[in-house]
Amino acid sequence: MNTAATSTDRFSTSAGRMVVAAVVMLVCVVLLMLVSTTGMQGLLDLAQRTEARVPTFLVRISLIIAALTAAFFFITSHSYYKRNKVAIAPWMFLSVGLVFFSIYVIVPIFQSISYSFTRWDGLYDFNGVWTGEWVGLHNYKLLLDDPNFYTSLWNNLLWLLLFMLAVPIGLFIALFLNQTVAGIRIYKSLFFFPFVISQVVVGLIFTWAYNPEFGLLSEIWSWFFCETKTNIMGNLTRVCSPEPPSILGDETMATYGIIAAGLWPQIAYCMILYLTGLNNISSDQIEAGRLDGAKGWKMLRHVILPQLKPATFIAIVVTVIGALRSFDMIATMTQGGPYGSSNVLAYYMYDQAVGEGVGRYGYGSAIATVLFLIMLVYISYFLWRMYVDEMEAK
Amino acid sequence: MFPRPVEKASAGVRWAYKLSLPIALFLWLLPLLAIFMTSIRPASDIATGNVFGIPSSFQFFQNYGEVFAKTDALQYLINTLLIAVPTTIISVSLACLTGYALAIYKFKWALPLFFLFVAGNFVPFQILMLPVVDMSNRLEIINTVPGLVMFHAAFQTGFCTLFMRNFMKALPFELIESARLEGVDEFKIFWHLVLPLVKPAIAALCVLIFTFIWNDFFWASVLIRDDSNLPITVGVRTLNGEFVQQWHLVSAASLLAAVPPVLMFFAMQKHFIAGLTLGATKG
Amino acid sequence: MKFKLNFSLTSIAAAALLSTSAMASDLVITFDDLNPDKAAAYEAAVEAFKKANPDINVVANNGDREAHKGTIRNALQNDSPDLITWYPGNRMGPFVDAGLFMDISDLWASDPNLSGNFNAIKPTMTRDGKQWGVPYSYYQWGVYYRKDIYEKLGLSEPKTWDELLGNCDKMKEAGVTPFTIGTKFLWTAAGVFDYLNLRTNGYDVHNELTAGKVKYTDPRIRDTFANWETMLDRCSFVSTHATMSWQDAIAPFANGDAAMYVMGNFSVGQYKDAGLTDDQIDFFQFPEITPGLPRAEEAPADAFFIPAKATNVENAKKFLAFIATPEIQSEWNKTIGQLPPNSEAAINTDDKFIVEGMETLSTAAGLAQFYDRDAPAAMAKEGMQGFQKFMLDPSSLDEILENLDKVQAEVYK
Repeated sequence: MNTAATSTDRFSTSAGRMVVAAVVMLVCVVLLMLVSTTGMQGLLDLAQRTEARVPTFLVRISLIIAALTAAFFFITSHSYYKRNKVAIAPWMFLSVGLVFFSIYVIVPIFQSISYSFTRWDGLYDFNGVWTGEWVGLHNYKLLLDDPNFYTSLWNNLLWLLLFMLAVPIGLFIALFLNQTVAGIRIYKSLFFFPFVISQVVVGLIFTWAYNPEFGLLSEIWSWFFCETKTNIMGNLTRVCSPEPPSILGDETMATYGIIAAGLWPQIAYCMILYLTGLNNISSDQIEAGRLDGAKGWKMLRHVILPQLKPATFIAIVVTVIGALRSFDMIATMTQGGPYGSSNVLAYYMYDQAVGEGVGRYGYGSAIATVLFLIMLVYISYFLWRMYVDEMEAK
Repeated sequence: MFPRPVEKASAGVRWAYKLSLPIALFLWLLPLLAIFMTSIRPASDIATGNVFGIPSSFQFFQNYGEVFAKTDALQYLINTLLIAVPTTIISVSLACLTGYALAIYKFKWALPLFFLFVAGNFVPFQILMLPVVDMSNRLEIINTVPGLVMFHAAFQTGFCTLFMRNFMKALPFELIESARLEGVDEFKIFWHLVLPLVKPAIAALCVLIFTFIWNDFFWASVLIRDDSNLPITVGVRTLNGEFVQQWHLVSAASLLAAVPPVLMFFAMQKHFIAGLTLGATKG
Repeated sequence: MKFKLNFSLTSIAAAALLSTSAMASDLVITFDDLNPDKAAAYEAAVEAFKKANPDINVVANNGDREAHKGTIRNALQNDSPDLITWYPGNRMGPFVDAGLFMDISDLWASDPNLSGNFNAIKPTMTRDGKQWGVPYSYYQWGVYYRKDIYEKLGLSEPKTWDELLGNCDKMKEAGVTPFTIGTKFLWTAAGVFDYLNLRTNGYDVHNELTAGKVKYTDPRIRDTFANWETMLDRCSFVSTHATMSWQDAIAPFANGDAAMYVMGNFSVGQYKDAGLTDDQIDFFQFPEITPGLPRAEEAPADAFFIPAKATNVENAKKFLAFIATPEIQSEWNKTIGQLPPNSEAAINTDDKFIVEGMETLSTAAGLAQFYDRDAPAAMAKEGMQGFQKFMLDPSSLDEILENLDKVQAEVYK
């Protein structure tokens, strides 16, 4: 009060701003309620069109933004803010992002966990009443008795283990490319190239490459094992002995095939992390190492790798996350097949919850919860590492 | 520098290295080259098993033209832009605010809230899927571009906050302190002093988020139903169902989907790599 | 190619200006087939409807069929169109039970065309004694075969199981794989299972199985699988079937490496696209296995439904009555090469497959809707995975059937 009151002029501007802001806020909130309860129908007679949904939504968002802006002016004009700037300002900076993030990310985690204790097919009846029922731990009991769940879990483990190959291979390529010959920059970018392409496209490329009839691998196979014969109708046909492997159609190979495809961009990612890391290694230490007679493998182990530790840490983190998020590749390459043998938890959950209208929301949520718990181990580890770093930095 | 520069090695080693580079690159990009060659072949080549050889006729324009003419590929590309650009703007802007709050102010919630953003950023998508679908349904924004943008923007705010907060933490704190002593308002400090300093971080984030969203498949396939709102990643998979046995067209469509992020990468390479590798050098 | 957002923003502006004028009458339709001929037939019907009803503003949407299966539940609860495509039989059950489809029995009763000309398909559209949708098309399943290969080997269309197995032996001797199939998307295997079960145990047992009243480990169902094993053994399928879609599987058929295909009639156009002519391909009904069983067939129908939350119900009913007329039914099905459910509708008598299909279905003792429509989705998913697994590894039969029993116990609760 006293800071604002020192000048009557400032006080009145401030009060005027507050009143205007309050009025704007009120108007926005009233309009927002109008739009929400009656839809655009009450305002513009448009709700019948499907297209009307988008403008309704945009109107709502604009109203919310206007209300927030008004609230901002209201608060910053208030004397309490002026006295406690440093305490209030961070919450104002945080508010929108934090609320937004909580609504879409934090709250749904708990909602999903609560779904996992229900049997529900995702439907509300005509009056908007929830059609599910609470079943306690039933879904988890089913899960323990579901062979597909174990297959998915095992495949997740395979992904985690084999995906780790991206780290050493990435390091190897980074070492190979860490030179200064002419044009090396272009080589580096081109090696990084696969990472930029979407996983769907990578999946399609490899689906084609693996195709036993006309793919890249079967072509190479045919150079060694196949001959072209004429069939009964006089058409040419390829007869192979042994037949080319049907990588994505064989339960023992499908998962490995997808992982190999997934490694391609992941290696590129790890490579770029290491290239940056190598760039930042102090040359003094390398020289010192050389003077001590270290070279080759010894140098790598004792001098280089310790300095690459931050790069290795990030590479492992992104690789673990990538392995557990392996959804796109499976969706494009096998849809979990043949008969569920290349499923992972992420895809199995999707399949049970919304795939082809199966609609087992409760069961799907139970699978998602298990996946979340696995990921939580890594998240905790990562946060702990960050916490230690923060404490050291202080 | 490690390994020892080849310039210092013998001429033989030098030549061997220079020779091995293109060979390694060729093998590394073989799948991509093969699919490119397929995309400019006539269909008959694939049927006769001409996968590696020179195409019997070059059909670059025919094949790519056919993709545009026969399908909604153009609409898919436009949709992807309509999804990726607003998402990038919203999430990067929000993260500038949240990152600033978490990096500059010393209050007891700063670290827990920062960890909340970081943790949320790493959760598996599947744990969010059903509630997000349900909520979008009730807000009546399912199956719309803005509906998808809302989710992406909220989710990417997590990663962007992690990035921004770490970047801002490295700013010289004395600058802000002295501005405060001079009585400059908190929001003016943010706007006039800090934002100009974090421009490189904003650029790097924009490139990264744009690419992430461009390549998103999962959320688009969960939240979008109508063909007319699909982004290119899901669209390409739909085309895969339509162009059965027409691998030359599937390849062309796939490569089309990859072009914008690739251009983005080559145009903004420095920012892109800076964004990806933040943290790989520090600590 | 329209740009929706733009369109709607201009329409807001327009409506704001015109808000005093009479409300335009709308009709929003969601269709689920992007295949060129299917989409064309749908669009043609919509155009005809627009011409007949110039005062109705029709918004005709179309989307991917597989995606539609997942997203229809959102569409029914919110953002409802006025008409939506879905499958009759048990597959419409959950939506009917949740009250999300509108009861249109009154339309069926009052429209003489609907009440008089749809008797064969009416039971399929009925649940709890009420009708819920109007079918626009259905088609037969059976065995499509290379007539020229049959002639070359001196074979004739098999009427019985033994004749079929005998034919297979001769084909294999000649180096021809008897059956082609692509099981990557699973459902094709269900076609084979359905026929084997319909022929081994008959329509009633099959219906009880898909309704959850007969277990998969039931000895009768085991008989079906025993027959399937014989078929795998003597009538082998192309070896790479697990990586192929049903369209991919046409390649060996067209090339003469495989001679038969258990398929639906929608596939004929694809055979012709692959270069085969009417002289090279033909159709026979899946042969009898258990002698004396009444012959039931697969005849999946596609239909339109009115979501309970539809806003323009009267217009929707107008459209349903319109597409049920013999003229539209015959036009629509001529374009897509399928059969009109309306018995008064003309069929294309130049198409031997259509003629044979009409003959096959009109004399059938029962019509099944296809395994993934007769069984609830969660059951169908597991079941079809089981079928694919069985085809690749028949020795795992016990494991498969026991797992299916477990799923059945959960799904039908």
